Amino acid sequence: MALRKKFFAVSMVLSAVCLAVGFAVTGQWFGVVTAMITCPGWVLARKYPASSLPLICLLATIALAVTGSLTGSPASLMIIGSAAALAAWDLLFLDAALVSNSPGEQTRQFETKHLQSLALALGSGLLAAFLGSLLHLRISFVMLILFIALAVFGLERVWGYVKKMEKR
Amino acid sequence: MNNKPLVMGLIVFSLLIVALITRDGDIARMMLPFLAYLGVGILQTPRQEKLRFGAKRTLVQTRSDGIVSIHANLTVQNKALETVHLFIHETVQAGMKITDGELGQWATLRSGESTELNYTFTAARGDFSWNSIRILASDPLGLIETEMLLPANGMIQIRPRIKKFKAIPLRPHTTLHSPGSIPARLGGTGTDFFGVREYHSGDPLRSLDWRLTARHPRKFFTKEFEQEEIAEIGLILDARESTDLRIGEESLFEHCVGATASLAEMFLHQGHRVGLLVFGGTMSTAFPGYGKTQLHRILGCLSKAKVEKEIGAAAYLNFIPIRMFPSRALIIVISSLFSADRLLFQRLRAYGYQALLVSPDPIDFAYPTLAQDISNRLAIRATRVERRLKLNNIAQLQIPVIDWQVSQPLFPLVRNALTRSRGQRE
Repeated sequence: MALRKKFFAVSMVLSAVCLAVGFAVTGQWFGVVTAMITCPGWVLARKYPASSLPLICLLATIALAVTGSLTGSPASLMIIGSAAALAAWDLLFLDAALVSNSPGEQTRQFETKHLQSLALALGSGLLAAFLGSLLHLRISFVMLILFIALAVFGLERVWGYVKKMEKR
Repeated sequence: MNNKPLVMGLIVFSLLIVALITRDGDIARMMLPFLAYLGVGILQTPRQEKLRFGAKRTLVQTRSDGIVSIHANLTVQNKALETVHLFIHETVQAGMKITDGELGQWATLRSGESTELNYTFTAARGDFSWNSIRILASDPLGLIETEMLLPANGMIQIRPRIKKFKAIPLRPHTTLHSPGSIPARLGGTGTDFFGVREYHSGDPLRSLDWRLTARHPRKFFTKEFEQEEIAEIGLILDARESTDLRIGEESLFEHCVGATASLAEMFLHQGHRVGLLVFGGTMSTAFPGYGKTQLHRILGCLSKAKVEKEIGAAAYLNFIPIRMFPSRALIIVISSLFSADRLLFQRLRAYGYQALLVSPDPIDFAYPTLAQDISNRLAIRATRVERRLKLNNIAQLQIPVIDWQVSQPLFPLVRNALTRSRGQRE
């Protein structure tokens, strides 16, 4: 079994388990069932990667994590659950892309490099998220507005950069 | 376009909005892995000015059991100093049937490394050419892709399959004054005795008829032999969309192309001068010529021939430039015909051409696929009558007509028709 497939299975299960445990802690059994349902959803999405199923699964998992976080489930589990869903979504596309590749050194190299980058992204993201939980900042309303404006501006610039790179 | 950055951007933005509305820091933190994913992708995206690649395309044609297969090899080398992640993509052209390999491949190339994309395709016939290889260079996560076209030329021609025909003894109206195989009904050098005439100064002594000379004192007589010359042949292939019929993967036009190639090969092999005109939406020609070079030219022209929708004057076979063939040449038209096409044959006769029509039967071709109910049977009968009338109309112009059922061999029909045409002339 290829490494990407193993990681996909791990990410999918981890995402569902984290969300289910998070909901179970607060006794939200409907949330537990919904979180467990995402697993067959991911399996189906892996079968039809060209459809909208992968995106639907990712958005559903994030929506569950946000709901859980707002209803008092442990935030750390919800964050890990959504990050694992991101990994599952990414690995699903990686698997679909490499299906037609002949197995060889270059395919293995491509897969390894992709997994390294994914690990770097998720590792740094989760680290930042957990470090963030240690910080307790009190921001005034004006500062909040400024931060929103900055965030929107930043996102717009990032999006502009992405578009520019694609046009090249 | 890759929609990964868009999805990530939307998720990050939505989480940010929700976090701000609910003033919940946990949701804001939930956004961070997605932001990091997007950031890692952007940071690892290679800069286009630093990307340098070398590309090469190799095409090898093999033929086994009459089936032509082409093995294509695409090599891309990373000439930049950085490691690059790329997707090589090959374009499929009309008529190509991929039998082995894949048309796309992801690879990670370190500096100086190269990767290969191999695939095999078959095609009945065609002219395939490529100018470039399309690649997408991206970050390892495949977020931001840069499309590049690397110059790598490749061209291959799959020629129509030829069925070898035996030589047919032609008796055309006129011959070209070049040594060939057709008795020209002219005295000169040859093998068959033609007649005797009075000696002219300069005649070789070995051709003197000594017996006749002995009987006529003070007179000399020379034996003449029948000159053997070549014929001038023009082939007209009808490539109009309205005269083609396609059932599944089979096409009536492909049968016509095969027939034209076989006839051209047979006539050129006999030493005749052959020209070709393919008449469809556009016209392609191989001007009259001899020998193997001309056969290559004609096969090249046929391999490129395709059925095209006719517009305006191209809808009428009558408008073809028949003057590209020398007058009194033998013109063989390969077409399943329209009603209005009779005018062409009238014109051919008026200009003094000797003509032959090879008309593949579309009714017989489509028959196996038609339902055998009463209405279809009546329709087929009516169409057969209409076609028979059309062909009879042309036959009335003293033009031999071959009603060719494509499942039957063409050679005996052509042989009979060309032999009969000699009789008609006499």
